[in-house]
Amino acid sequence: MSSPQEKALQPITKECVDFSGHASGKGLHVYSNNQTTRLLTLLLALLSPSFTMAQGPAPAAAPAAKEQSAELNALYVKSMESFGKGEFKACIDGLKEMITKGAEGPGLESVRFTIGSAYFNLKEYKNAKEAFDLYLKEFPAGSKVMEASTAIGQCLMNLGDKAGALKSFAELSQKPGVNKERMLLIQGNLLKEMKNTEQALALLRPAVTGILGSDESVQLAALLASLEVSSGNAEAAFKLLNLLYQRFDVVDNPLQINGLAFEIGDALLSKKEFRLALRSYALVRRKEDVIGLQKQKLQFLIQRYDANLAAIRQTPDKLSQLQASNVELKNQFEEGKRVLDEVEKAEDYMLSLRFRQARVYQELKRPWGTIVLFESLLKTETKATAREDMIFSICGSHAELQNQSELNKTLDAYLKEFPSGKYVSAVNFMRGTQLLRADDLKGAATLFGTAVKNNTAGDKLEVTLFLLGNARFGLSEWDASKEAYDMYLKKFAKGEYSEEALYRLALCSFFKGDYENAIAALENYVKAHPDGPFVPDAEYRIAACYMAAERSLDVVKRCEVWAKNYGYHALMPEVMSLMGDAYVALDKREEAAAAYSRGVQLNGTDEVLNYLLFEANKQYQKLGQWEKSIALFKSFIERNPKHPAVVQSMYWLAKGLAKEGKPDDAKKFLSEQIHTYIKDRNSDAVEQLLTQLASFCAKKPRPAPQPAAPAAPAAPAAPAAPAAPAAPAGDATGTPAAVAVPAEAPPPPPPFDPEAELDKYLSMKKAGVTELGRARVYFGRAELARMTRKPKEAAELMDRIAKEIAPKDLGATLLALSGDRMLERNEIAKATAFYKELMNAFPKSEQLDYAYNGLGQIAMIEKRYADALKWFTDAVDKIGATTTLKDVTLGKGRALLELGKADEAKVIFEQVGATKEWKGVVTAESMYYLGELAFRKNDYTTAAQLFQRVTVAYQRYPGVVVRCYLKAADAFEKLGESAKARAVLEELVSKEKFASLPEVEVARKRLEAAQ
Amino acid sequence: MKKALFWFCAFATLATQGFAEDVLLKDGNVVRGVGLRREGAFIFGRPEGGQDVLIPANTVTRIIFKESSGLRDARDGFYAGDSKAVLDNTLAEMTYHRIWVDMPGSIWPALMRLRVPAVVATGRPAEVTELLKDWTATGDPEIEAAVALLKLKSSGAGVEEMTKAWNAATEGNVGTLSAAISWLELGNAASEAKDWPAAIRYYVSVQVFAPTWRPLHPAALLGAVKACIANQQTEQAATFLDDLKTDYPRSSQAKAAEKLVKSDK
Repeated sequence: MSSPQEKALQPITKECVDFSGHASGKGLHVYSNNQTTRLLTLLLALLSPSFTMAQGPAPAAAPAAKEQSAELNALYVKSMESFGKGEFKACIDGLKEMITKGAEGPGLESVRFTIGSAYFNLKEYKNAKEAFDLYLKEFPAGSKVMEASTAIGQCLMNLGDKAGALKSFAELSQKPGVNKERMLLIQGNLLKEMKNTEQALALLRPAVTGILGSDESVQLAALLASLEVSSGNAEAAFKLLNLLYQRFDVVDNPLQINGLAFEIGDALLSKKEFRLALRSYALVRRKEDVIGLQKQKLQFLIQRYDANLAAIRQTPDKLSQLQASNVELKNQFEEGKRVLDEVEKAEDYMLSLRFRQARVYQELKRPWGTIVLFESLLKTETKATAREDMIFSICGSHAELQNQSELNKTLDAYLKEFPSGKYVSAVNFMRGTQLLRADDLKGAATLFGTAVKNNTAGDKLEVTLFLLGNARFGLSEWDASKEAYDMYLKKFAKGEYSEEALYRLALCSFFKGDYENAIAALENYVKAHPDGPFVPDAEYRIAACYMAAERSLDVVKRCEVWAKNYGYHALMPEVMSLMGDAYVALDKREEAAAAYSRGVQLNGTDEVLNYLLFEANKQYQKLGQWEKSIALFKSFIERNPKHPAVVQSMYWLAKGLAKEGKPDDAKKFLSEQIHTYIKDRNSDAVEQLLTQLASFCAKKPRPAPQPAAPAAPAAPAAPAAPAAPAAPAGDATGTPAAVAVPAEAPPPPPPFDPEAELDKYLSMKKAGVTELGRARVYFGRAELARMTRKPKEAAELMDRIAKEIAPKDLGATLLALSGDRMLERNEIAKATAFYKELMNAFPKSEQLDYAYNGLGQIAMIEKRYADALKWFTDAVDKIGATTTLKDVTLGKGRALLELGKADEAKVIFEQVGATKEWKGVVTAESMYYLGELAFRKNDYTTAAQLFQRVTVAYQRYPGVVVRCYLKAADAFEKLGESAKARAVLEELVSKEKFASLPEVEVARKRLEAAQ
Repeated sequence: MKKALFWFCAFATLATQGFAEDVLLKDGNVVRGVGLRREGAFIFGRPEGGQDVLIPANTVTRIIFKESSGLRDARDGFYAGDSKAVLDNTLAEMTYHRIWVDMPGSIWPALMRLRVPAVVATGRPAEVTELLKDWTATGDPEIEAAVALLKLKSSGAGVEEMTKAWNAATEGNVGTLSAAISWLELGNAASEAKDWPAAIRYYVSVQVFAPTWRPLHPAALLGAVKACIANQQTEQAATFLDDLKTDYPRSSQAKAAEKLVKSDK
């Protein structure tokens, strides 16, 4: 498709899409002068195959005429061949020669028309217009009237007479049979060129409705859409764009539609029509899609062209018509090829698109959209400025989503890539706030402090200073915090946070214990902000300052005033607590108990409520007012059935009942509470109550006091009854001595049976048939056995729980105890099952540290020291172990020792040994391991000393002591002091209380071997 | 030669009749025909009141198929994210258009562009099996890549293998159908693994990078709603619900998402 013919008709349309406005929100304009390419078809269609040269009919043609006709015919054919080759001048010359030589008749119509067309193709529009005018004059009813008229309009247009051309096309469009859409397209383009947008819109709007059927209607819609958007009618343009998108296959220039999608999207974005903007951007085709479609279209044109060539060979009489068709096809191909080249060479516009989409997502508050867009672009984008903007945008989106961990990662990524970037101050600020959120106060204080010191906080200085104060406040760095607030108030006296800064400033003195200054500062705040939100708190703290100054009477007065002014304030329970304390200091227990009790009735925090409750109870106890104590706890339990202090309250309530001389009521009360929750796996309280019940049942009840003698009649007064004789003691055989017992005296009560007593309040029947109920009954009995000094029986009962009840049926406490029991018995698999179930079923249980400790101990037994270290470390770091803290700490030391980290292990053993609260077996163990550590370092002297210290000081812990004897002997052997070693072993063997232990047998054998 | 002349004569008549499809012949003639059918190398057409005429397939340059009402409805369903409508309306079209797949101008690829994402969006293995059973290649690399993913999955490939394939599909050109399917599948896999931030990313990617594959959007948006709720981002869940209600108001996913968001409040 590269014959000279393709150059015959240069395209009279030129469309250009400029994508240079990348990411700026500008540019991306579509320039479309007109869509009149298809006019060329009209011009080429003149090559009618029906042309014949005729001189008029002659019955018998004279030879001369025949010859002339043949010559004219030859001239015609030659001229048309010239046209086909693009040799328009030759064509014109030939056709004019025909006219000069007298060519006439119907065939002349084609000659005149062709002359006009040839001039047109030579861009000699004046001559072309004259030729077409002559054609219309000579052939007003000719077959090419429409085409000639169109061509005249085209000539006028090309001669710069746009108004004339417009008029010409407007007249033409009124004629019957004309392609109205084509005419509208020409007129619309002309009006657009003439910048008469309003008229163009008025002309085109009625023509573009519904489905775009013809190719011309597609072009019309594209033109109208560009006019609508340039007139600010972005919504109307968007509707047209949707119609166009459906007909992408017939669009002349796909880039034009992409450009429109950008332009309309931008217009919608500026009108804050975000959703529509997003949908408009969605219609931008990917570059590879556009290329694919364009290639398909070109392929189709080639097929059509080849088909025409084949048809010419089969039907030569259609030569001219098919040639004309091919000229148009070539033209279309060239234009399509030009567009394809343009698309292929164009910079990929996806980055520009993505930036726009991201902006829309930001506007729509769809941070996830922004995140995925920029994360995707960052994979390939290398320009530092773009990368910086994108990473910062991602930071903002994560902050909006409160994705703490992802935000931290992104902030770190930004600071790593752009340590001196333009957003550093903002990023540092975000980083600081993140650290605050993560409770990393030290990190936040350092970051904010550095920003203030280096003057890099930028426009965030005010909030940075305030947060710096807060971070230091949280760290209890009162002076440093005060310094930050002072600086804030100096720089931003009327700043957003000035009131709170002033208040916190006062609190710094308060928490520092500088009560004199605290009172002044708090009063200063109250004076400056009499209606401020912190006034009740300030007044309360002023009273607390007086308390510190031991001015209890002032405290009471202030608290009373406070309660009157702010009775419903959330701080009321704390104020009552303070008032109670002041009364206690004044030794007014009744008033103190009343103040605490009043506080209990309010909705305080758990911590305050606990304090009030038990302080009130303490005062009632001291006053011997058990009935008030009982009433207090009853009321508390009813009002707060799920409060953490409920179990303790039940305990005290039961104790109160017992103290009041109602032990049966106490047991009954406990029994009721136990049976209410006995089937509830999640109720840890049951085991505690069972222990208390067991303790009540273990005690032999005091004999009921003898009923007092009936009161004697008031008068006359009777003499006092003689005292009963003391009961004589039994004889040595244990047989009760015969005593004179009054005949009506009751028989001696049967010996007290604690088990039977417990059975009265706790039985399988009452507990129900659940496995958990059974386990808890065993537990209650085990506790009783322990309290009545029956350890073997207690152990057996605990073993029954572990062996008979599946872990899935037990509550947290029994899982913990069963796990420990199985570990003690070295039944590792069973112990593991209990601990695992405890972790899975009760992840928030207070007993959870049993599982961490137990699994750590098991890992130690199995020599998985790294695992053990992790369990012990996690026990402290992850769940804040309390009950087993000493065990996990010692375990951590042991694991470190086995992992070869002797120095770290030593620090831990020393810490365990030095902790007074842990004094006991772990102290002995820590000393043993310090000895072991010295032994492994070949420091046998120290090792021997440490082992011997244990044998001397901790004889009550046989398990560790016997090991120390053996190790001390080893150390002496290493030192070459065999006599000492022998003495140590002999001492061990001589201790009867250790006789059953296997280490003693080892010692005995070593002694035998040495002899 | 005689034979060719015969065809030409026959269609010279046909060309004046009221046919719906345009058959462009290699000899330059354009033939209009309705009810075109195919018998191997021959194309049959029957004009109204006329008799069957034949066109050797190798004489055809291109057939320009007109858009049927079914296809139009399928397109509307596609745009509305209504996979059921797409499947219902493309079923009959498939039978007709499958036979023209080798002819220039075949709209089989366009039809499959509608149907394949709709099949995926239903999430029903039976639909996938049906689609793959007699799969007729489209020649469209994008569709074929998507179908290759479906084939791999239905062949019983494990999660690891599928994840690898899905990840590969989302590299490079992120707007393809196979990428869109992969975002959705990766989102489902991440949800299964309770990796909510990753799940949200994948689901959102369907909407962001593949905005024109609309049948996949309702499922992706519902997935995003669920993941946001699980990730305790209730506000974001509400925005995705808002997208569902605005863009796909009649979808079952919009109703399901609304219920989820309500119950989370």
